[in-house]
Amino acid sequence: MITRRPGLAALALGLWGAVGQAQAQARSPAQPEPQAAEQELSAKIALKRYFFTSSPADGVDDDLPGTAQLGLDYQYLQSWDSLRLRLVVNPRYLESAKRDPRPDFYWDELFVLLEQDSRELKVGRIKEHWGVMETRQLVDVINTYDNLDGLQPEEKLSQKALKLGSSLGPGHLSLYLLDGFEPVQFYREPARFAAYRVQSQAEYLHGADRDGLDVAARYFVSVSDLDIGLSYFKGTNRAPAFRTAGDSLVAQYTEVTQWGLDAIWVREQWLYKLEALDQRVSDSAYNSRKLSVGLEYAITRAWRDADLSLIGEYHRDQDQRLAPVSIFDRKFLLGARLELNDAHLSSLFLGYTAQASDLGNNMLSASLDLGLSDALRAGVSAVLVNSSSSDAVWDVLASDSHLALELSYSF
Amino acid sequence: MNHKAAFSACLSLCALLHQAPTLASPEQELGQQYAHRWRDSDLGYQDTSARIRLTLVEKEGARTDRFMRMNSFETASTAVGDKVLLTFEAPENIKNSRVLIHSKIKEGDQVWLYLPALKRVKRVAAADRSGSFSGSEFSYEDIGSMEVGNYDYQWLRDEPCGDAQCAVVKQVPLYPYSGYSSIWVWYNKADYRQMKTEYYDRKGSKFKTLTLDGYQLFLGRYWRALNMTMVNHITGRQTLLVSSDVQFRTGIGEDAFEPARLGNLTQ
Repeated sequence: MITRRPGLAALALGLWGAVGQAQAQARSPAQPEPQAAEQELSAKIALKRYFFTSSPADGVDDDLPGTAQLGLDYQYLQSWDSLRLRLVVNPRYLESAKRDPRPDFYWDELFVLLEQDSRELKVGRIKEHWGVMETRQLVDVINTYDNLDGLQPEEKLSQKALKLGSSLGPGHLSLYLLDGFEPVQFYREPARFAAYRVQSQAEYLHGADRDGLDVAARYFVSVSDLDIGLSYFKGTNRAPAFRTAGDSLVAQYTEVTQWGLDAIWVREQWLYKLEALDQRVSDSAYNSRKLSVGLEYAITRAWRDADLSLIGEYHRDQDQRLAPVSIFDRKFLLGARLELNDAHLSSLFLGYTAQASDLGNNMLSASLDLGLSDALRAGVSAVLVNSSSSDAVWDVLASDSHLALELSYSF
Repeated sequence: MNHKAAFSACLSLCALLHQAPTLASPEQELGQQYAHRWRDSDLGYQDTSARIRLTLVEKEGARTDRFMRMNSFETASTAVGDKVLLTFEAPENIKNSRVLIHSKIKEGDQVWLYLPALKRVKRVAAADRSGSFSGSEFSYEDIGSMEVGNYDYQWLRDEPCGDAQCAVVKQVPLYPYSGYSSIWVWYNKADYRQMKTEYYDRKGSKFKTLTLDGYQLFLGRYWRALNMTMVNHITGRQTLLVSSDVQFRTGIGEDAFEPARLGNLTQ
């Protein structure tokens, strides 16, 4: 981790200025005329409500009321010759329970992107997605996930970052300078989806620093039917470990050096995918190695115009004694996604997740994303968790079987 | 003749047979000629951009519109195909979704999707390329560029097509996992424009018909059909594509067609 840090915006401007100066010298004297700017503003209102099938575990707050969210997406595009600028301003307002630790207002994304030829520069609050699996994305290390909403949240917290990207050889290299990070948030009291008490003060160990500068890099190359991404990260781990302190837990962040690999290979009806992660800490008791493999089988027009994908994934972790607890070790997923290809692009997903060593610990999930019109969508998801009482984590999850309804309107 | 000599003679004969060019019938040569002339008439376009209204028409007549921007890029080498980038602009629920297609010769196209809700780039399985493009009657296979090296050809007949005279050429896909057993193309004999295409499914039944009209000439050389209608004969559904604001040689770089940059959305 780097502890001396100039402002990211100043650094970005300096870097881009140097690039621009060099290119201006190479260009002809005639200055390019800016093209007409484009602006777009859109909004989305989403309402979500949970219904549980059973009472919560002892001591767990039953209150997980619905949420209401208003999101605005604004972007400004401007081009000068080969130079393109994109400004993205996506604020969000979240209305939820008072005990919800999430702020009412936050930035989904807020960044400036400059592109010229094969180079790009992005600075601001960004989100990066590299992973290829359905169940978890091991190699996604830039952003933090909050485990406050549902059992497998997909919403990430944005990250203050400077990203430089460029074509390099047959692929694309991206370099990241990450300014601090957003620690995972927890309910103060045990709650649905989080039946444990976590102290508000986290510990930063072995070089970790909430406000430090972290670095990351990714090289992506696509060769025929194979896509490969190789990533490197050095900085504060986005996933905390925990230590017990009385009847509560304390989140622990360590500085990690990690290498990640993600790959997709398509052949015939099959899509094979892999993610692997090797994470090292100066105290080897925190070291971790994880592997996820999966495949998808595509059947076009399986039912009328609908396309079907059958999905299988398996996860294997080797975590040392103090490493962050993994809930995925030796789990597998068997699933199916049906893209209905109707006028509003509805889809249905059915999944069966189980612990390979004890199939009595399993989870059945179904979600329907139904387009009602160009602007209105309804989401219905159901999760049924079964536990054989052989695993404490499954026992806790078993009381969180639920049905969730979501309605969203875009305009 | 001993065994060794017999084996050697057999090997030589096999090699000779293997090297002998397959003799094309006059119908095959003629079919190929039309396709090559069509391809040659479009050489040197460099890149194009267009705004497209895609209208889904249900059998009962209900209509749904989507709007998108389409960029295509002519690669320098004819050994690989062109590249196509589609960006949805409306309605809101699919805005900023993107499809990137790298056309290949005899290999099957490479296709990536960018899903803005997840901000993820997703690779599409080879067999999925024959799946529906955004709920329309077009498949990803139809949207990618039609590369001449991807088919076996056979001229079937000449016949009138509107005011013009057309050559009907049967094209059999050579790339894997096509959704079609054959594609019949009506080439205008005067300028080699494609006027109509019929798609036959894997069982050989007529599946879809694409009609191209509203042709406009750009840069004094390049024809583009501004109106396309794809009719699905099995479901009775149709998809209309209406192009506007067509531009050639916009200067867009090949870099904009990299899967790693799909999420940037500056093009």
